[in-house]
Amino acid sequence: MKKEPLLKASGITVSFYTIDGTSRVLNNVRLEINEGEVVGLVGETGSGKSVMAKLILGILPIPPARVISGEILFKGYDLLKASPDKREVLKEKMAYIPQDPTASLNPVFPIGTIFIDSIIWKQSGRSKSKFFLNRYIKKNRKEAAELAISLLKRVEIADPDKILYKYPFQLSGGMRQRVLLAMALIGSPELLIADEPTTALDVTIQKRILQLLQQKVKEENLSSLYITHDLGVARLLCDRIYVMYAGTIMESGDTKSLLENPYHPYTKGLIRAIPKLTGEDFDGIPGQAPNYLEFPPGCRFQARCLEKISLCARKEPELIEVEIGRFIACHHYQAR
Amino acid sequence: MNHILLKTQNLCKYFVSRRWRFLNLKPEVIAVKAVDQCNLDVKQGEILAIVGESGSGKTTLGQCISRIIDPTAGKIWFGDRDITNIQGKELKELRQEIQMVFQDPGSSLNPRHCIEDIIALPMKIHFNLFGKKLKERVKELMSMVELPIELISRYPHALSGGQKQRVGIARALSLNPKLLVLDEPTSALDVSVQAKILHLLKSLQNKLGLTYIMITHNLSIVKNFSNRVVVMYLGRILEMASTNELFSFPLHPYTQALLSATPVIKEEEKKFIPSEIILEGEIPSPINTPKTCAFLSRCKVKKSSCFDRYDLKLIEVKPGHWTQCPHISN
Repeated sequence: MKKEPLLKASGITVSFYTIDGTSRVLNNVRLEINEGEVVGLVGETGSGKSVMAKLILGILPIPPARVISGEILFKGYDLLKASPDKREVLKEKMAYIPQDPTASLNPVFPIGTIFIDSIIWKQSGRSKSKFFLNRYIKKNRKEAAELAISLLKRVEIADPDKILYKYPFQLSGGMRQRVLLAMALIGSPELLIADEPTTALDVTIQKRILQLLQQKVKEENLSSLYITHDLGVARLLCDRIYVMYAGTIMESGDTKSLLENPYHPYTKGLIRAIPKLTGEDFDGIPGQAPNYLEFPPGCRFQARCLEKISLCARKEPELIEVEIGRFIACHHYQAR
Repeated sequence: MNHILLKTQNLCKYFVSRRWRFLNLKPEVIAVKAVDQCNLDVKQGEILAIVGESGSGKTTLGQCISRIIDPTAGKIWFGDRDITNIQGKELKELRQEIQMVFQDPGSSLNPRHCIEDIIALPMKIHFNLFGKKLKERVKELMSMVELPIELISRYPHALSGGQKQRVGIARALSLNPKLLVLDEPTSALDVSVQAKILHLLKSLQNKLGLTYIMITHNLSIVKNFSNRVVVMYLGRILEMASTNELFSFPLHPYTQALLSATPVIKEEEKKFIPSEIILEGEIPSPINTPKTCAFLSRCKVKKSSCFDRYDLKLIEVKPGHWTQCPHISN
């Protein structure tokens, strides 16, 4: 019997209402994360990856955004319809690693203060009144500091008790990202959402952080959604990849088969665009990133597609399973 | 034989500051050695790539070469001319020979100038071009970098990242330079746009006979784009070789580690990567660095004798392949 996935999003459509008009940023997105799996969400800038992550976490500003349709089932509960109290409880089981480690640590507080506060916040059940009460009890702070040190040890930081007294600017980029990873592990989450955590880092440090992440996912029995624009990173880390373009899932499948044998013209273009060590020819995708305000009917990729057929301009392709575990939304492929 | 267009001799750039401590009679001198004893040469018509992690001094070296900042010591030769300390009119003339394309296309364009003004400004200053002639030249440059002519009166905020970088390239080309210093021209762009910009740069090089110094941290781009590679670490050049040579026989342990950390997409690419090497720790602080090998603190193959070797020099191991490792030079 197949196990229910930990997170199952289907038919998600999100629009942003602005002065210029309505832009449909997510269009019928389907996403599944099984237990113990690392899922990659790959796409270019402005393809709606981060919006998806924020929607799952419940930190998407509504309005200007509005969820038109769809449901996100997390452990059997619908996140979009759950009451605010229930939502808070479910939030505890999710953790988030942001993109820019510099911007996400408050520069005026030492690491210890930030860390201890977020531990006490979680321990007091995310309620403000309890949090401010608990914060001023010395015993709580001491316990939280001990927990912080043990968490920092788990992400392989040398002498963690000294780190607690340092300010974010005294740490290097890799260190900051480790601190954020340690903070994500507070309260043993089940789902870890990482939003391009290594874009700001160098390749050698990136590799180290990715290995650490992989190791933690295994050790702590986490499931993870890893958002990136780098297919090479996705290949290292992810079991399955979703390729997103203009708010639509274009193709999905397990990493190896998707990268070695892409079906969708966009995935093909994306892989072709990356310079390779073999010295193969590389070429960009023609055209420009789409304007969300005025999409023509039909497939969202049609303006840049090299293999489009007449049907593409009329009907929006649906995400159809073509092989076991391989989904694709393309008329050209489906017509074959 | 190609003749050498640009050459640096023991080029150094130190950022010196003094820190007063309580009850000390003298200030403590802090020297950040951003570029330390760099010797390199650029041949006419080639693409030289400078790779390294952030904080390794790549950009500072590029800026020293284009004389945006003044080097502390050493010499820079452009052709037969010593350009290390030229000032005033001579420096202005040099600007027509060496131009730079900056890393962040968003912040290197003045948001209050429209595209026409941005591209035209260098020509107004250097060539005294005005009016119709100037506008024609701007249009010619825009078509050269494949920018639609309609954008001529737009402002930078209305352009996409790739288009902004094209404007940056057009501005750099406006003075017909011989040498272009490209400071991570594609690191802020998406992969699909990056490929197009790289192709544009390559075709421009063929058309105009330019020479490039390309500063980057992406080894896959280096492999596809450049003729020769310089690997920098902590302000020093650790290895210098032709691209094929470096990728098939990386000698320095740092180059090997850098190669092994490159994320790849296809299975066939893996054979270009030496066995898995993971670097512990991070690039050390460039303040008052020791005179021993720069990579010593993170090196996996170091020996005790490495600690006694001072003032290492680049040594030609094979013809055209230079390295600074104390091991290999033994």
